Amino acid sequence: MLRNTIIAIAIMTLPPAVSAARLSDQQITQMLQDKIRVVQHMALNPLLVKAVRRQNAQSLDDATIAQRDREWQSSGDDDPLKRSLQSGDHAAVMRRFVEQDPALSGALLADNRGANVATYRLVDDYWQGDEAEWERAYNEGQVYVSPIQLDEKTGTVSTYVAAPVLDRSKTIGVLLVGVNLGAFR
Amino acid sequence: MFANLKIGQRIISLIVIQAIILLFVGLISIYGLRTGTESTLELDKAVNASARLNYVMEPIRTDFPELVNDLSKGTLGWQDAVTKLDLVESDFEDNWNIFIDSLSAVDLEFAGHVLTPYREDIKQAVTRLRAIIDTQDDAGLQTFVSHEVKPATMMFVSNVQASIAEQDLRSNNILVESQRREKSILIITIVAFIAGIFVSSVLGILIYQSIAAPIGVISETVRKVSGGDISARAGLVGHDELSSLGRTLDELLSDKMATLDQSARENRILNDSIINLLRAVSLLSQRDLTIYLPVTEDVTGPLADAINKLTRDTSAVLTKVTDVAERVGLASEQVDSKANFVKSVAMTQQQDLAKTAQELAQASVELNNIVAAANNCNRIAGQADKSTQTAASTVTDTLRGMNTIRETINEAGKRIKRLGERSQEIGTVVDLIKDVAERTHVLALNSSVQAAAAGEAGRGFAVIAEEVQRLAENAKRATAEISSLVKNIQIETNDTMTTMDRTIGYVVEGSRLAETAGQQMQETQQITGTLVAAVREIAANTEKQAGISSQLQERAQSINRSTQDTTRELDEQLDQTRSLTDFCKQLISSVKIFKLQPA
Repeated sequence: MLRNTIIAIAIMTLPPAVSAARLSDQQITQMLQDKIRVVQHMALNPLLVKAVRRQNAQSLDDATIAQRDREWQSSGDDDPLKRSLQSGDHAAVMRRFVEQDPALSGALLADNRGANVATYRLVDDYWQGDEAEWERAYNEGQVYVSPIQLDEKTGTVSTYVAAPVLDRSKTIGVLLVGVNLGAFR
Repeated sequence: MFANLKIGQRIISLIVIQAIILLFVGLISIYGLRTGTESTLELDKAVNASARLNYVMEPIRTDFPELVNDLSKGTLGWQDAVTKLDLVESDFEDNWNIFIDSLSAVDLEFAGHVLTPYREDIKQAVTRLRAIIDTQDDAGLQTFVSHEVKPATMMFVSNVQASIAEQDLRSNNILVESQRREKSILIITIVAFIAGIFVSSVLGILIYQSIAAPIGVISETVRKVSGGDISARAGLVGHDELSSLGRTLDELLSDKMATLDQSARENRILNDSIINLLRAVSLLSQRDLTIYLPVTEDVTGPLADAINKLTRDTSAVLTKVTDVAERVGLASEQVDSKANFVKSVAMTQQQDLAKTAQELAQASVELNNIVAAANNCNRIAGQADKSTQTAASTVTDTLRGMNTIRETINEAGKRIKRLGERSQEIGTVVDLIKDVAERTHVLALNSSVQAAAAGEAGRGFAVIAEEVQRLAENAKRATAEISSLVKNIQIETNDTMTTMDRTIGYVVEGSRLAETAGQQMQETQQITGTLVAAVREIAANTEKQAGISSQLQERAQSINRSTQDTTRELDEQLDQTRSLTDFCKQLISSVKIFKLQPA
């Protein structure tokens, strides 16, 4: 119920010309529902759950997170931290999922503080605690779909689906996946 | 609430309502059981799916890696490995097919998305291992163990585990939802049960009261009546048996009470009538004629009727008196107003008459002056007649003198004309002389020329020629002077002739005017005679008019005296009219002390 409401709200934010010209509301709703289930499924993957559980056990303090966030934004792609977050089984699982599905543009796994655990293609920030996607999904324990955005250059529409990472029914982190709706055409 | 229902109907309604409540509770219970069954089935599906996923995953998670490990360690021979691999593969495929068959269409599609791609990885790994076993390739086996087994199985296994977790989550959700629904149904059932008991109890109490209350009312009414309260009634409304009983009791009591009430009412009415009569008489003594007594059917009725008639008639008479007095007052005021107007007119008339008498006296004087002037005119006209006659004879004399002058002037003119003719004759002689002088001059000139040609011999002749020439010139000059004098005489003569002619014209015109004057003198003489006669007649008429004017003056004075008498009479009438108005007002105020009925 809540999920459908969120999807409807997300669709209402879509510019009418785009939805009319390319995909019907019903099509987008169906596709979003499919992708939401995929993201939920990903978030239940034991490798990802284990990775988040492991990072939460480290209990990173605010200063460390802030320091890493600054370094993340100023460094290049070959930064050791960035490279370490793209290695490991859980990162491999995320990568396989994204590569397997052309509608998925990238994925990001964050812990209970909003710090990155693993990333694939979504590498803007290290700290996600101030992002609406992380806040809503983590605090409410529900799937959150961000407002749909139109890329004027490519003419494609996209959104982010954030699903809580559950460990024995308790939210311990958030999995954020970019969904490219224009790819469904 | 139940007044319209019979007692039997009330009991049936109680039974029906209880049955409805029981039915409602039963339906809720059935709904709870059905949803519980559905939840159990859903739960069963989720548990089955988890178990099947475990069956699918198990060969890949344990058997396949174990086979590869045993093979790489050498604890398993190549031939046995083939047998075991076949077993693992068939086991996996069977379990996969069972799992796939159990899925709904939606779940099947989802499994196709998240599991099928990685199942292909498994199949490729099995094919690869089978090739290694067939070729007994130790090096290939080592590579396979270290680099290929884990990536091939990891995605599939972890995804199956995720699916199992998903089923666990779904089971958990179903359980939570089922518990929540069960709790809701339990609460609704309890509430409905309690509400049912409450409604049944309330309804039972109400029905009991609806039966017991009327019985209490009837017994209380009977008790009151027997205790002396004869006005007590049950007053029950409705259509049930007890209400009918109450009404019958009320009717019985009412019939008994009616007779007593009747006599009491009659006594009360008679008392009221007498009190009303006394009040009316009291108001009449205060001169209030507006009262009206209700005419009752009792013995006081005719008396009230008579008093009403008396006051009504008196009031009507007084109203009429007031009306007449008001009208007389109004008429008096109108007469007063008219008399004032007539008085003012009489005053104006009096002034006009005085002015007329004055003007008539003045006219009489003027007429006498006219008589004197007419007599004077008569006298002057006589003198004018005489003067005119004298003038006529003078004109005749003048006319005669004029004719004499005209004849004299004619004679002088003839003589002057003859003088002009003689002057013209002189002119002819002068022309002759002038011609001789001219010829002499030419002759003298020729003589001078001949004398000059003769030289010295002709000198003496030349002197004579010069003398002759000088003589000719003198003659010529003298003739010119004579000619000029004659011309002047002719001019003067002509001028004199012209003047004479003009004078004659004047004399003729004077004669004609004198004749006209003579004729006009005669006409004037006649007119003057007529004028004198007219003046005499005017004088006579004016004298007569003066006499009439005096008579008019006397009559005007007489009218003036009459008008003064009229004004005096009008003043007296005004006084009487005002007295009449005052009397009317007094009469109205006298009547007003009575309070009259409206007209």
